[in-house]
Formats: sequence, C-alpha cells, structure tokens
Amino acid sequence: MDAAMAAFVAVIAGYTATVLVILESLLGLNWKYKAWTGVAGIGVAALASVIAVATGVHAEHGSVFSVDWLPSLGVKFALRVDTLSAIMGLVVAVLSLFIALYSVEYIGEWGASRYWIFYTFFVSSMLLLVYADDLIAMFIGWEGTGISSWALIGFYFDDREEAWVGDPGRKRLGVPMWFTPTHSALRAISFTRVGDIGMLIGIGVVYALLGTVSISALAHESSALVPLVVKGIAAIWLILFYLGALAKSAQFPFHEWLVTAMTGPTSVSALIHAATMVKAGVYFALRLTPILAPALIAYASVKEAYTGLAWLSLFTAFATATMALVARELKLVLAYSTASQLSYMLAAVFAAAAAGHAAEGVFGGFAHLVSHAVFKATLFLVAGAVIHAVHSRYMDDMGGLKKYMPLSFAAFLLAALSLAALPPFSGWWSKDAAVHAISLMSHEAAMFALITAVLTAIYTSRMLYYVFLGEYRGHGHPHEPGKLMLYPYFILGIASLGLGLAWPWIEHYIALAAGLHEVEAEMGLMVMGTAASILGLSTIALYMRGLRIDIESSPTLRTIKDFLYDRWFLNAIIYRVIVYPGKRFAELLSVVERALDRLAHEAIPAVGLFLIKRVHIVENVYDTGLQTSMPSQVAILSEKVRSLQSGDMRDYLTYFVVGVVLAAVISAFVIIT
Amino acid sequence: MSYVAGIGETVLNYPALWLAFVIPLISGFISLFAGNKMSGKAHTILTVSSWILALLVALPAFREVLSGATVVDPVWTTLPGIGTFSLVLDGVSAPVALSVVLVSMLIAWYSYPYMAHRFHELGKESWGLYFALYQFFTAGMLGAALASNGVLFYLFLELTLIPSAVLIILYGYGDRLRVGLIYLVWTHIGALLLLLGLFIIGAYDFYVPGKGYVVAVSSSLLALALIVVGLGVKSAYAGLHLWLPYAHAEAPTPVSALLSPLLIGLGGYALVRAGLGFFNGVWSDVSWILLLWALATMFYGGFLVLVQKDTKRLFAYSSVSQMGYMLLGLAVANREGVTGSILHYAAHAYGKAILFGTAGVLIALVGTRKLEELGGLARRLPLTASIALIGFMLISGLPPTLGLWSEVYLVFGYARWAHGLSSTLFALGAVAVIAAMTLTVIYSFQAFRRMFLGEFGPAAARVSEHAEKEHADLIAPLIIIGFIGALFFIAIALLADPLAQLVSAVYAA
Repeated sequence: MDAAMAAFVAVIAGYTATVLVILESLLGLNWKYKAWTGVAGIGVAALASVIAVATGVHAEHGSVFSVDWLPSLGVKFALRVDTLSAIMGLVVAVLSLFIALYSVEYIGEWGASRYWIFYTFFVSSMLLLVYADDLIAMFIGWEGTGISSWALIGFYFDDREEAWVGDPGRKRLGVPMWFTPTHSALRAISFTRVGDIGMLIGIGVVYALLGTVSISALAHESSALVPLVVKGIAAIWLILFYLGALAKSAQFPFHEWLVTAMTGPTSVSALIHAATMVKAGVYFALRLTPILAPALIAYASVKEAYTGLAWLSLFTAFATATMALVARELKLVLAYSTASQLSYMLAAVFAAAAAGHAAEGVFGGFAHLVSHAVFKATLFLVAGAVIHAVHSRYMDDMGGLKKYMPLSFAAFLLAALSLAALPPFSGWWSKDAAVHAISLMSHEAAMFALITAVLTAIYTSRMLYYVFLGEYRGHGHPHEPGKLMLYPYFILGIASLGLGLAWPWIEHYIALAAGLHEVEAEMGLMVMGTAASILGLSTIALYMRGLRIDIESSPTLRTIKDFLYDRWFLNAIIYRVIVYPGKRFAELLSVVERALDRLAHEAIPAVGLFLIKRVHIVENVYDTGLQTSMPSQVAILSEKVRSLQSGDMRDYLTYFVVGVVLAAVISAFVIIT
Repeated sequence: MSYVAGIGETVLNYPALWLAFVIPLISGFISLFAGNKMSGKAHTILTVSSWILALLVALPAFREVLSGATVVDPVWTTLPGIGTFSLVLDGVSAPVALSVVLVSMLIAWYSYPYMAHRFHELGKESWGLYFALYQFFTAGMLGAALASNGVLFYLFLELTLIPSAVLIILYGYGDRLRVGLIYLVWTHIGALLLLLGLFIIGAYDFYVPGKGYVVAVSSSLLALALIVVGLGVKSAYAGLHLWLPYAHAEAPTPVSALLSPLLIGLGGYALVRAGLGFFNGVWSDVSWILLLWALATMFYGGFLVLVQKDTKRLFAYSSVSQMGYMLLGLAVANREGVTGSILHYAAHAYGKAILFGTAGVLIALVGTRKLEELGGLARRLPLTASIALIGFMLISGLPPTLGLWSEVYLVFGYARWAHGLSSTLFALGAVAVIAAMTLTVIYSFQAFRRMFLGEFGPAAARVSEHAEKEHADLIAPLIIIGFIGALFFIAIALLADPLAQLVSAVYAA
C-alpha cells in the first residue's frame, strides 16, 4: 500500500465507523458495540497512519491520492502524504486512539451513540484536513471538526451542574461568568464560524486569482498572488486567510471559546486540545505559510501583517498564561495553558515568516505541536481521572493525591515537567525551537516569549502542588481508575519523557517536514529557556514551605487576581459590546417589524376602507345619473371595446392584469378589515 | 436582444417534461373528484406515486442535462407577441425542478400523518380537496421551474397561488382567512409587477428552441426595478417580506414545508432568467444595490429569528435570511455566485422542508409551537432532534450536507467580486459577509438549543417515551430528505457541474 492510499484508508476508516455506529444506534444495540466500533475505526486509522509514515515520510515530492470531486470548481478529494502530513497524521491518529480507549470506560453507556458518532467523525475530519492537498477538501475537514466539537463540547446537553465551567453566581460587569455545556457549545461553533467564513473568503480570493484550490498548485504559483499587493488588499487578505486558523487555534480574542469548552467530557477536552481541532489552526499555518510567505514577504504590507500576527500570538500566550496563574478549576488551568502553548506555535510560524525564514518557523511550531500533543493529552486524561476520583472540578478539593493515585501522579508529573520545559523533556526541546524561531523576528519578541515561559512553569508548579502534593482537602475516597483509563495516559506520560530522550532523532524528521537541512541551536537562548523553566518551577518550593502571600487581604493584589480570574474582563466586554447589543438590536428590529406590519396590514387597509366609503357616498350622487345615462353610453363603449380587441395577446394580458390587481386589492381591503 | 446558444440542445422524443407536470395535475383532479370516496391513505399513495412517476418520466431529461445540454420538450407553441411556450430543463432549472419533485413527493407522504392530526383538530376530514389543492400547487411550481417563457412562468405562478392560498385559508392556523388573503394579495402584486416589467421590455422568452437563451434584452432600469421588486416580493427580500411570516407560520405545516423552501426561492431562480439574463448589460451597475439588499435581508431575517417565540415564525424569518443568501450570489453575478444561488435554493429546500417538518412533529407530538415550552426534547425525541440538526446544518453550510457547497460557491462568488475593491471596502465587505453568515449559525444552533437541549421545558412532560415509535411515519419522510441533502454533499458534481457550465456559458460570461 502506498502512502497516499494509506492516508485514504485513515480518513475513511473513521467515517465508516461513524456510519456503523449510526446503524448500531438505529438497531438499538448495546453501548459496548458502539464504543468498540468507534475504537476499531480509529484503530484502523492509526494503523494506516503508521503505514503512511513508514512509506511516505521520506517521499521527495509526497505521495498523492486524488479523485475528482467537483470539476467545475476544480475541487478534488486529494490527499497528499509528505513528511509534514505524515507525522501530523500519525500524531492525530495515535493520540485519538489512546483517548478513544480511555473513553470506553470514561463515557460508558449514557450518550454512547452520540459520543462515538461525533468522536469518529471528528477524528476523520481532522485526518482529512491534515492529509488534504486541496483547500476545499481541507475546509470540509475543518468544518467537520467544527460541527463535531459542537456536539462533544455540549455532550452533557441536559446542562447538569457538574459539567459547568466557571463559578455559578459570579458576574463581571453584570455578565455571568459560568457556562453550561450547551452555552459553551454554541460559543465554540459561533466563535470559530467567524474565522471559517473569513478563511473561506481568503480561499475564494486565491481561487479568483489562480483558478485552483489545489495546495500543490498554489505552492507552484504563489507568485500569482502578488496582484493583491498591487491592489493594496494583501494584508487584509492575509488576515482573512489566517482568520480561520486564529479562531480555531484560540488566538486572542477567540480564545474565549476554548476556555469554556471544558464543559465537554474530559476525554473530549483531551481530544480537542491535544490532537485535533485547536491544532488544526496551527497545522494550517504550518502547511501554508511556507507557500505564501516566501512569495510575498518582500512586500512591506505583508511583512507587517506577519509581524502583527506574531505579536498577537505572543500577546495571547502571555495573557492566557496569566489567567492560568489564578484559575481554580484544574481543567481550566489546562485550557489556558493550551491557548498559551498554541500561541507559541503560531508565534514561531508568523515571526519566522516575518523575518523571511519561514522554514525555521515551521520547525519551531511543528516541534512544539508534536511535543505538546503528547503531554497535553496526558495532562487532560489524568485530570479526567482526578476529577472523577474526587468528584470536584476545583483544585481546592484536591491535594495530596500522590498518595492515592501514584501512577496517575507519575504520568502527570512527567507531562507537567514537559509543559514547564525542563530538560530533557520533549517540551524543553520544542519550546526552545519555538523561541528560537520567534527570536528571528526580534529579541524583544524572544524575551517576551521567555517571560511567558516563566509564567508557564509557575502555573505548572501551582497545579502540581494543589492537585498532588500537600494534604488532601476533598471528601471522597480517591483511587486509581480502571486499567482502560490508566494505561493510555500512563503510556503517554512515559512518552513525553521518551520523546525528549529520543529528540535528536525525532528532530531530524521535524526538520525534514519543515524543509530545513540543518537545525541551528542558539546556546544563549537555550540557557535562558532552561533558566526560565527552573525559575518558574522553583516556586513550588514556596508552596511546599507554606510561604504563600495572602492575596485576599491586599486590595491591589485582589484586584489583579480578579482581573486575571475574570479573563481580563474580555468575556464581559464581548458580551457587553457584541452579544447584548446584538440582542437589543434584534428586539429593536422586532419593534420596527411590528410597525411595518401594522402599516401594511392595518393602516393602509383602513385608509382604503375609508376611501371606499367616501366613494360610496359619491356614488349615490351619481347613481341616478349613471342609471339613466348608462344605456346610451353602452353603444359607445362597445365601439371602444371592439377597437381594443386588437388580437394582440399582450393587450389582453395587460387588461387582465389591471383587472386582477384592482380586484385583488379591493377584495383584500374589504375582507381584511 | 441577442441569443446565446448554451452548451447544446436536445429535443426529447416524447413530452417528458409536460408529462412530469401533467401527471401530478391529473392525480390532483382524481383526488378532487374522488373526494371522500377514497381514503386518506389512498389519496396519499396516489399523490406520492404521481410524483414518483413524474420523476421516472423526467429522469431521461435529467440525464441529458448532466452532459450540459438544454433539454427541450417536443410540445411547444408559439403565440404572436408573446413568444414560445415550452418547457425546458437545463443546468439552472434542474436543481430547482429536482428539489420541487423530491420535496413534493416526500412532503405528500408527510402530509398523511400530519393532516390526519390536523383534520382531527378541525373536526372534519377532506382528503380529496387537500390533495387536489396540494397537487395544483406543487405541479404549478414544477411548471414554473421548467417554463421557457416569462408569461408562462407567470401563469404557472398564478396556478400555485390560488391553491396555496386556499390551503392556508382552509387548513391553516390562527386568523387563517386574513393570513390567506395577505399572502394572496402580496404575492399576487409581486407577480404582476414582474409581468409589468416584462411588458415594458416586451420580451418574454427565456429560451427559444433552436435559437438559444435570450439575453441582453433591455437596459431599462424601470423595467429592471419592477422585475426585481416583483420577484423580490415572492422571495421576501427585506422590506418586501411582511407577508411571509404570516403565511409560512400559519399555513398547515406540510404547506409551510412547501411554501418556504420551494415557492419563495422560485423568485431568485426567475431572477437569473429575467433579471441577470435580460439585463445582462446593466446588471453590474446595480450589483452594489442588490448586494446591500442581500446583506440587509440576511441581517434583518437573521436578527429577527433570534427574538421569535414561535417555532414556525422562527423558521419563516430564517427563510427570509436564506433568500438573502440567494440574492447575494445573484448580486455578484459571476459564475460562482449564480451557481451558489441555485445550489442554495436546493440546500435550503431540503433544509427548510426538514425544519418545518420538525416543527410539525413537535405540534403533533408535543402539542406546541411555543419555544418557551420546549427545551431538553432531544432526550425524549432523539430521532426528531437528529433530523432537525441535519436541517440546521443544511442551512448553515456544514458538512456532510449540500449546504456546504452552496456556501462555498456563494463565498467564492463574493470573493471574486470583492477582490477588485479598494482595501477599505474589501475589509468592510468581508466583515459584513462574515457577520451575516455567522448569524445563520448562531440563530440555527441557538434555536436548536432552545428546542432540544438544556433542561426540560414544560412541554417535555407531555411526551411519552414511545412517541417517536408511534409517529414513525411522520419522521421517516424527513429522514429521507436529510439523506438526500447528505447524498448531494457527496454527489455534488451532478448538480453543480452542469449548472456552473451553463451559468458561465450564458449568464455570467
């Protein structure tokens, strides 16, 4: 089987499982059939993705599978396996398999049909967008992840309280700061939709200029986009083109959807954050930036656009890291962390592109994507087990779990150290690569990224301490979960260390994916990155010694804490500026609508009726006259009528029309009123 | 005036298109005369079979269209001063005609369980009259989709008008007499304005067998305005839409499921022939106005959806917003935009038929149209919720549904038109299109949430666990429509390729 064929199998396997689970649901089969059908579908996909890597990772020009889908738009169901897509496909499929295995026990019976239908659809859609060599095929996968994430984020659609995110009752600027699953799901699909349409307009412009939506073709003809610069719309186009990626990958202010998406089952959070969905945006940037940037970067407007995007990502990384510092919910810390780490990836891609070194950006971004996928999946899966064990999503109710859940602690620790970028964990290598790429743009940018790295390590230690160290503060009796849940994340935890140890070997492939021949390492940055990590992690010593600042007693600190806790007030601002005024506008329109309705269906007919009555009085006056003069007029009239019968069909129709209009209008006036 | 040849002409060797129109009409007459001598079920079977037969008869014509040909029915007549009355199936009319046939067929099936419920409420059964009117109405729509001539189109439109108004008056809800008349007057005036516009330019033929498509007939802005406004009333563009929420909300639900998706979209369809085609030369001068109107319609309808308290009114306003999508594609008037418009006719047809169908399921099973009473119903009616989701996906342009493709085409059409603008206008336009299209997703998923998700509303208590099983015949036709909507996602080339080819050959050269 050649690589592209394997990719085809990988994409189709999950979709086939979707159809099978639907059939099983209609037949009313036991939930275990559905779960294992789902797992089997993803298993086949994972196997196929391994074959795709084995046969396709070295392919010089990639291996292509292509079927015409919509010839009039040049859309092909085209899949392409090259080093980048092969590795990405592997990461997606294998992680999804681990998470699927975990889900069998975690989800169980309630909602099994829905879960497995959308899970398999999700994974297949993600694989489609990864392997796609056609922007529209990619867009279809993209939208597929959108609809399935909606369903999975709102999985607990009865809005049970234990699935909420945020503190019930808490308001900021009068805006509620807690979110039910169905509300979060609506937020997710609405926020990402904004980006998706922008991206589609961007693709549409590409099509208008190049007459193709093939990614390979775009790679060869990217210079055909230069007219956009001449027209002065290049920068706007570029932002539209990336808007989908910014929204999906939770860049400011779109990160809002991601942090409330925690209402889904934890397995879904792991899926969305680690392997799919949010990585789609980064992948889009990895795939297309090396195609677009070299052709356009010589133009100032494009360079500025990339610089602006890079700073947006750096800002997002920083802002969400500060929010993670004060979050009380374990999953929320992880969610902020995801938004922050994704921003590293995108910042690397955009910054290096702005500096004219797109390949380095891809290297840094992709390296961090791979390592983050593994450690974030681990963290989420452990978090799911922990939340389940203590029956609370708040870290306040955890603590000391090292004693009760030692294996989970081990897995979590390995992954957390990777997140904090401690050597020799994979996160250390990859964050260094990302920061290196960012440094190509400017030193200020690199410094900013390093400050964020310190924050990352700080919130990591805080989380580690509150969950696993110190004394247990909860009420239940925590214990390790069943094997089907434990093994997947334990293996993944080991893998985050393993990846780090094997990094020099892995790095070679990531460089190959980026089209880099040799990987540069900057000693100074590496040392600073390590120092940032150690500095941040050392805060755990403060916790261990009980040296904690009493934030509540200082008004200034308290204000800062609330500001961070309420996500820089951004959510409140969005609701105040867009959502609520939108609702009021709709209400205003309904008043306008009622007024128009009254005018058309009450006022005008009333006037008509009034006139008709007047006519009636006038008519009485003329009645007699008409009665007598009428007969004599008939002769003349018949004369006229004869002349009207010209034989021209058009004239008849005109009379007919005029007559019908009058009849209709008059009868309406009479009957309606 | 000039003729454009299209891609090729095939004259059928038997009158397949007339038969496809006449067969349902005959079935309507049979229903009319049989009246209560036939059972409701027999009437239903007759009606559904007539549409299956019509489809089978017309199938060879549809096959010919796949190759890009313009298929002409061999029976036509030429009237002095009016032109040629013939029926024509081509890439542009095929998606429209197919939607009419399939939705009419499946909604006839849906009518049986639904109208049984409605007749029970009204205390009197009249299956014969119902299906007779149903068939005159639906056959009229098929005729309008196939008409080669503006006057013929008008006549078919008149054929749809009276029966549909009577259906509303006899079997509708609320103040149905008043609603029926509002509907009658408005849409009749719309049709007349169209006709007056045509009179002014003095050209009626959309297509003349042997000669080709009639384009660039006139540059009279008055005539264009009359035609656009006339068809705009039919399609309920913002400002001309006031009749629609009444008619679509208060019509008996199967009729809503025909009016909303099938009938109003015909306005947009005819705008391709009588607007874009006849006014080829001046159309680009009014593109701006039409585009703004399209966006206004998308926003106006979309925002009003958000504040509706009644499921059927909600779907009615959604139809207004969806007609804005069709106008958007026509406004930009390039190959992608016009193709997207017609595809959106089909996507909206399947989507909105499902959604009105769902509203009917709720009326029959839960006994309410009030949104505030709904909520949480996915737990009681999982199948209904699933099929409603497909309906919402169709209008929101999400895979795996046909709606995705119409959205891609429409956005591509917009992008091609807009990338020549100045940077400020390009940015503003993009923001407006993004906002308008996001609004559809927001209102769709918000409505879905209010109906099916969250905590149980008061109505949930009235639904038994087995309600869906007992009413499977109400849900089954909707599932088939959903399946068609998904099938065309995969087999999109069948609809879009002949359409795009013809559009670029004739209407957006």
